[in-house]
Amino acid sequence: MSTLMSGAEAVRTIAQVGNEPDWLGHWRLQAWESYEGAPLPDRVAHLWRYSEPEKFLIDKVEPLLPDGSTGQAVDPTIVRTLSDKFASEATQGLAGLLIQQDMRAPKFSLEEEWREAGVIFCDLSSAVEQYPQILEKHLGKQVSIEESKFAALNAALFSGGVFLYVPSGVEINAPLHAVHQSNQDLAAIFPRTLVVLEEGASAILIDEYGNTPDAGSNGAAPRVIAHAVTEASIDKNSQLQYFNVQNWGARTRSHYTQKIHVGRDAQAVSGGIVLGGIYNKADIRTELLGANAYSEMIGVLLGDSLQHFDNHTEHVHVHSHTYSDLDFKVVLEDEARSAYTGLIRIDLEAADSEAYQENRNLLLDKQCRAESIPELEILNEDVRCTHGATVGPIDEEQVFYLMTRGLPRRAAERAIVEGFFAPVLDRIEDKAMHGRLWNYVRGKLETKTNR
Amino acid sequence: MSDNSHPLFEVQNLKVAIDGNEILRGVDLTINEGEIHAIMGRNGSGKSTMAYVLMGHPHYEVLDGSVKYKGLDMLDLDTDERARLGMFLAFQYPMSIPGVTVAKFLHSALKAREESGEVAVREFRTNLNEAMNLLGVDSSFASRYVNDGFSGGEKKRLEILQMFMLEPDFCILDETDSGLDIDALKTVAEGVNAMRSEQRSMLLITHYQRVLNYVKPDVVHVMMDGKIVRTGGIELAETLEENGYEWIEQELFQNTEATGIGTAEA
Ligand SMILES: Nc1ncnc2c1ncn2[C@@H]1O[C@H](COP(=O)(O)OP(=O)(O)O)[C@@H](O)[C@H]1O
Ligand SMILES: [Mg+2]
Repeated sequence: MSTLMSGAEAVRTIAQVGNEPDWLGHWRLQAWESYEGAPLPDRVAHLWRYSEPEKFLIDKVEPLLPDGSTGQAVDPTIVRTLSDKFASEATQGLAGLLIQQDMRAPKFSLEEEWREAGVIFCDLSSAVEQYPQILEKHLGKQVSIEESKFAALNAALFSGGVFLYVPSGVEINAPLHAVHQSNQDLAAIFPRTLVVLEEGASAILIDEYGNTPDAGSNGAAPRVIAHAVTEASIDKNSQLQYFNVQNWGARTRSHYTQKIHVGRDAQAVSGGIVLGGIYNKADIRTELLGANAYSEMIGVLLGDSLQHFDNHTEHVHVHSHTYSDLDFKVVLEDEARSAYTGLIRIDLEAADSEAYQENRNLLLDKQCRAESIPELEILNEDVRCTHGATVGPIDEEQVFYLMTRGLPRRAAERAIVEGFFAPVLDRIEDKAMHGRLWNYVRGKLETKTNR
Repeated sequence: MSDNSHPLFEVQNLKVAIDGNEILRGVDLTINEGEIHAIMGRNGSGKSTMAYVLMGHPHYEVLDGSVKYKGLDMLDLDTDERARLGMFLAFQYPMSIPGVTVAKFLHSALKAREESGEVAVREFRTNLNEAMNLLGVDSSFASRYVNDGFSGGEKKRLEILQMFMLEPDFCILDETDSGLDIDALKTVAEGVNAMRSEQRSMLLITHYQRVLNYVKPDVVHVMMDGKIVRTGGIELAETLEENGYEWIEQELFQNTEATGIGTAEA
């Protein structure tokens, strides 16, 4: 670290400023040592075939530290006036909202009804203070220090963050929305989200990353390195819908680790809306740990300019009678690059399981490139499993057909792209959520159609 | 055809190649406002090629000739510009656009024609329902993906539905009649007849005479090997129905023998 403070000092500062319990301070230090001690990932190892680990090192930027501001629970109406973006219908119909900038001064709100039911929705730092036992039990259990060098880095340096806890039997019928903004130039940021659903609980969470486009020097996007982690544990018979919106700015490098553990009779729908950043790598894994555990994973990726994306997904069937379905769609323009690798692993004990995986890539320009590699580790033969992958250019006959109806080329391409994504997003039954996710995608498409 | 009629559409000496093969070898065609012309010809004679070229399909290379519509030179314009000027093609093989609903598709097509880029949703819905009723298509049509999993007949109806909604001034219908059972054919023909007006012209491409029992053309052309080789009235279609195309070939052949050149205009 080039800054005045050593990593270990930074970790101690975070623990001190946050008034954190000893176990957490120790964990952070251990994580930092693990990060420092671990060699850079081997490019030959399959997870790093497509990206350079050096790009995610933080020695040329300043890791952001907490400033002592703790989470502030506020009246929902106040949160709604925080920024124009959230002033309008974006906040309507939400059960809760959490906004933080540079991992600091989180503002959050939760509808009365759910607070009374025992739901917790706040930043992790506040949660550590108020609910240390719950945190000690769950933090770092899905994404541990051992997971990877960069996951350890997040454990050492995260602050702010998001904590969602839904007690047994509580079903939240409206979405919760968390926003992590990074605005400081030449900074490293470590967003972390922890979701715990107890037995029979249900929740929908949109977790959004972004930065103000002109927060860097001379009105450019800020230069940021983001190491983000999401871990979720969903107990028996619970239902989670988790949507991660990667809307980082044009000069952010992002590394992301997501893990969801799905218990017996529980259902996880998880989605990635991948739009932002310049150099991005994500490792996403859902483990099916009990009978009838169900996972649906969707991905919508829209890349342009020189954006680099490296997405790896895993569906791990640990228990018998489990179900997974993945639908990941990629559209690239200009000179964007995407590598997708998708593993289906069916353990020896996971008989009678079903696993489906589909990755389709649509290329709008000659210079963009996409790779798609399905990976299967099927240790039990008593399963049903299919996978499909395609990479292809836009169909010129479709473009022509639309143009004969009066659509200019750009609009025709846009219609085809929207149509390409539609079956993925249409899997989301909740109408309001469906509309919200479309808005992110359309937001990016809009800037393209109009240029 | 009256003498004071205005040409809406004029093709002169159109020569077109694809992958270096000359497919259209000098087509001349003039269509006046309000007229319906039929082009008949066997498979492979170049009818669809002509339809595509008139709409500006990028894969075809125009070697020579001109295409004028409303006095404007179409060959300089992109496909979408031609469409917004009022040209329309009902495809022989309509493309499917998965993920895009019929309603959304039509709404965007209409919006593309408006200066403001806006078309009121309610008014649009009303018009769409009306058009669907008229063409006897189920209301579920609107929310299905464009041509995705449609039967042959449904695809043709959707082409006509689009023609209804977009209200073009010049319609090219490429074998809209083929592959339809008699009921579907009648519905489609009724749609076409309902669209008939003083200002609107149509080019009906077909290789059966059958549709001409329902839609009466003003002029009938025969295309063979990339050229229009005969032009006449409805009786030309009737002769073709009875005698097929061989007699024209024979006449053309004799003509070639006699003159030593390969042209034969009726
Ligand atoms: N894309 C193409 N590539 C090569 N040849 C083509 C292509 N399209 C049409 N042709 C050829 O052009 C000729 C005319 O075809 P077409 O216009 O489809 O005839 P029609 O519509 O009258 O049946 C045929 O010989 C056909 O094989
Ligand atoms: Mg044809």
